[in-house]
Amino acid sequence: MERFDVVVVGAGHAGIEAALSSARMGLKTACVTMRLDRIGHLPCNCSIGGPAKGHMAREVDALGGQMGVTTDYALTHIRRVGTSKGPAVQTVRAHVCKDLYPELMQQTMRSQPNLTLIEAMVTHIETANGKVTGVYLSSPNTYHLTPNTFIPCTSVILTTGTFLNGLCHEGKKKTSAARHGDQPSISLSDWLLDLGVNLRRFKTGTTPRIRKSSIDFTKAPALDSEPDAGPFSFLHDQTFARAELLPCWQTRTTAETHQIIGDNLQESAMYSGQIEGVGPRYCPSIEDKVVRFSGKDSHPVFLEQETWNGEEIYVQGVSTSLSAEVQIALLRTIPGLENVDMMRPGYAVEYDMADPLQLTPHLMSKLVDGLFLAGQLNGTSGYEEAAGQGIVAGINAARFAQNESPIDFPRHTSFIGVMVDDLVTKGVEDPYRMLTARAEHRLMLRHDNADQRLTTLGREIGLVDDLRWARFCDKQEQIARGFASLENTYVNESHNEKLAQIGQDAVRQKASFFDLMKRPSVDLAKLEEIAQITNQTLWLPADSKAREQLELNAMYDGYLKQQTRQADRAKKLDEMKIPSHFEYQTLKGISYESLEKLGRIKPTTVGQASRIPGVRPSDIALLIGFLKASKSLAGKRNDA
Amino acid sequence: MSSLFDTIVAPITGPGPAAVSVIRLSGSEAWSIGRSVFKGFPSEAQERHLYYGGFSTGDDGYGVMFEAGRSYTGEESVELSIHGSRAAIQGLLHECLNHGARAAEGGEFTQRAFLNGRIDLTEAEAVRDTIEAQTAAQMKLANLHREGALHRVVRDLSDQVTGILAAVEASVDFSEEVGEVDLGDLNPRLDSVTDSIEALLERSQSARIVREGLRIAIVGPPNAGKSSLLNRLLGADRSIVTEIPGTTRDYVEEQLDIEGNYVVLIDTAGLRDSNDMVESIGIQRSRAAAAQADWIWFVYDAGQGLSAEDSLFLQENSGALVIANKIDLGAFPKDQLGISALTGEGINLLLNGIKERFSGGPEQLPVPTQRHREHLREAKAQLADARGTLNSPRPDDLAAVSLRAAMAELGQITGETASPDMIERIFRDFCIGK
Repeated sequence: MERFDVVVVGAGHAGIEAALSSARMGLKTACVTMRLDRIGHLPCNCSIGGPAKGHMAREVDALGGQMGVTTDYALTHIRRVGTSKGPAVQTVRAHVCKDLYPELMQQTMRSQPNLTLIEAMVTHIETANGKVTGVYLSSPNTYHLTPNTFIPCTSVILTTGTFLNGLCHEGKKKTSAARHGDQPSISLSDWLLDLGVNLRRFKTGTTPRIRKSSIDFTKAPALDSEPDAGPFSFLHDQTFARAELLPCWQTRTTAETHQIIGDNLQESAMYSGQIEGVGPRYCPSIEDKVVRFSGKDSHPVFLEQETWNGEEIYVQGVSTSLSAEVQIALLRTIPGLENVDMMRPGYAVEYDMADPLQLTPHLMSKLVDGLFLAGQLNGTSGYEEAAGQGIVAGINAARFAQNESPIDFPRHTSFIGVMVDDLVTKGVEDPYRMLTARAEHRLMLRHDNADQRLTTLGREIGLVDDLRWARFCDKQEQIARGFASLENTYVNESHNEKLAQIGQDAVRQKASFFDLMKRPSVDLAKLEEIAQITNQTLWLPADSKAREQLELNAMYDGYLKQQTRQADRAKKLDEMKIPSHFEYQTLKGISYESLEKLGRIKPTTVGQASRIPGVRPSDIALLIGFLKASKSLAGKRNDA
Repeated sequence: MSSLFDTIVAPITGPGPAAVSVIRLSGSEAWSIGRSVFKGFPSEAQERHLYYGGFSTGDDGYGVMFEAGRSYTGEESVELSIHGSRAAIQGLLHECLNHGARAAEGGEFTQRAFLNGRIDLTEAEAVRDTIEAQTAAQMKLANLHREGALHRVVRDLSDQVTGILAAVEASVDFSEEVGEVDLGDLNPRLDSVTDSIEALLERSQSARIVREGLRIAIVGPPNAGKSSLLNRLLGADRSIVTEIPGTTRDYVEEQLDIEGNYVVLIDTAGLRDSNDMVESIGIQRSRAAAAQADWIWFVYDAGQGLSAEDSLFLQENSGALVIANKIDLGAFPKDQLGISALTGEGINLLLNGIKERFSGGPEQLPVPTQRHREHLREAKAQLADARGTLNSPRPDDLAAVSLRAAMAELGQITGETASPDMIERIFRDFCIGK
């Protein structure tokens, strides 16, 4: 077969972003998937976004990715979340139509220049001299029989999700499958093992699906969409919903629900010992929640409509691997679901994940050059986590194929960077889900400023097209002009009378409009009023997104400055590079535990080294001292 | 085991002149340079054996060689003892430099000891204190510091802040899914950490006395015998003592070791209104010195009694010890201390008073240094910010910014948050040859 620069294996949320970014950067890219009709499939819930996940989806979008754009077209529901929790936490949660989203993704993939879609299964990857040279495929329907087809390439990105040795559990029933209706991939697991990849068993689960017409909605209050919460993408001024947005409905588990679960724990695949895989700590099954939060007699349940016109309702909050009979019994103890009809039971999937400690911060395997891994395969859970890794792997696989230096994603500029650093530095013990608490500089990493953090980078590496770039530059200019006007317009004591007229406290000295905005009662609209009654000209942008930036920056000015100082300090350590072949034995006083961990993980910077669990701070001090001394010595030698 | 670094040289004894001075060479070339400048090592010289011989400067003295791994720096080293004249030291240093050594920078020997794993950063900080210790009490403090007592206390505080932060974070991340998370009342938890930090800072005040000396300002009206008292304590004529009032025009500082306790006595100009410009400046400085002292001794002439001006000063400085001097010339109230600087009567009472100030002091408690104090103050300020945010209508998430900053400050004390600045700072305060 013809040669490709980059071959992406898999076309889920990681695979899509990986393939599109590589192709958009101008590289000849192939995407191999077992079923073309399953591109962009949403096997679990229909939601994109939510706390921390919304941030990552926006970041993928800001870099020139696809997730946010398609969400705006497939949108069925959107609302704000975390609004009372603070500027860094609030974001949006969207629901997309599960039929439409994959359909649009397929169209996008098919029409993407430089991208070839291949329906086949990758059986193994060929390497020579420690580098990837190509992949072997077989046609999915007859792959045991046909001879292998070889595709030569420079980079390979594996985004196989839960497909490696996938095993579905529903009560005591086991099926060899990656997810409902898809066969698993087995030979690739063996190939990875042979390469020396540490594979571990993880599990994830999904909820039962219930019939909409069997729900008593009088007992499950509707949460209406907030159409002005969108659009999701920085590229759009509006969403493109095909009908009036849907609500979702809220209900809760009851004491009876918990009783049934308690009585049937031995039925649960998780608790009967049948599943060896480790489940997600932060997206737990209902069995987990009942056992772990035994003090709570009720958990929130959200009913989410999966498609525009379908009957299937996703029962958010009730992920389970109990038997179908028990599932229906417990569902019927939930208010509104007393007579519910279960269309499909929930199930758990066990799969092989590859230890991300064997990856570089650019998601390339340390075992073979040119092999990249992204998505659920790396031990994460969630579409947004997958998409975030997909774009990092896509960009760096493309850079590798072009012989260009890799692109870093630091912790202080994106949640994506936090995630990648966590994965390759700390590893994962259970499926990794992004949480806002994982980001130490999160006030700077808001969902509303993802474009300001990442679009310039996206442009530099060739991912951001002219349209997005023009919109971005225009918004930036408006923000800058607005800032200048706010900082150069003032009130002083002579305006106090007029301020009093509109219920504003007096000023004791000259104050800029920017400073006035730190008052809780003052927003941009109020400033426009103040400008008017004091006969001053204030220039403010018309665009609501630009206005939002001005308001947030003024309101949280002090906190932002404080956090910037913290980030700058952390940056110093992240900018101290450790030479790639650094011999830690040279540090004579280093502890054995640190030596072993540093030697194995091979951090690229002192910052990364300092975040490895179990590496002693005193050893980091030693490392810093050593690197500084070597550097100053090198300087002295050069002087001499 | 060869060293990664070049060979450095510096005297490790004081600047002299002294009977003997020691010069240390450290680095991979230490033995070879040592042999070039000192002819006393036999070809089969054993390490850590003392050899006598001549230097290439013409002088003679002793030399010792240390193997890498068995020296202060952890590197191959040589220590050479020569006559402690400035010329002899400089001559030998030049010889070493000519043979390829580099002049060591301040703290560089200790820095190498740290880089070679001989000591850790905490120990490096303690080494500096040990070197600078002038009295037994200071030595004890440095030893305690080296044992890490402060680190344990600060780490515990840091754990408490982590707990508070975790509560904030949990409410931020999970309210959507498991319902509103009860934050609990964080105020008492924040207050408890703040109180502990304040206690540490206070303790560091008393520890500062041990580390930097108890500063006693001797103030009082002119010609009350302040300088005579100082001289009595010093046992020598240091200040100019005359019968003309206002002789001590500026203030004079003297250092004393009183039974292992370090004391700084400040003799000030007499307090009175003066028309003499120079003297007025002296008086202003005296008042400033008094304000910064740990203890004020107010000395007056028992024959003259206290003036209205004196009483006013004592009202403003209620902690002052009132000392009636020249008790042979007049009576004095019972709550005052009577002495005679001239005869030495009552001086023992003063010395006991000084010892009391040190007794039961900070020797058994962890004590922050200047560097630690800065981080503690900043951590305290950040906790106050966090408390302010949590008690305002602002979203709780913002409190996390200050809580994280407080943790980072505490981490700078224990070394949990190692930073290049911190490491630089620790070695910056060392002097050459340490």
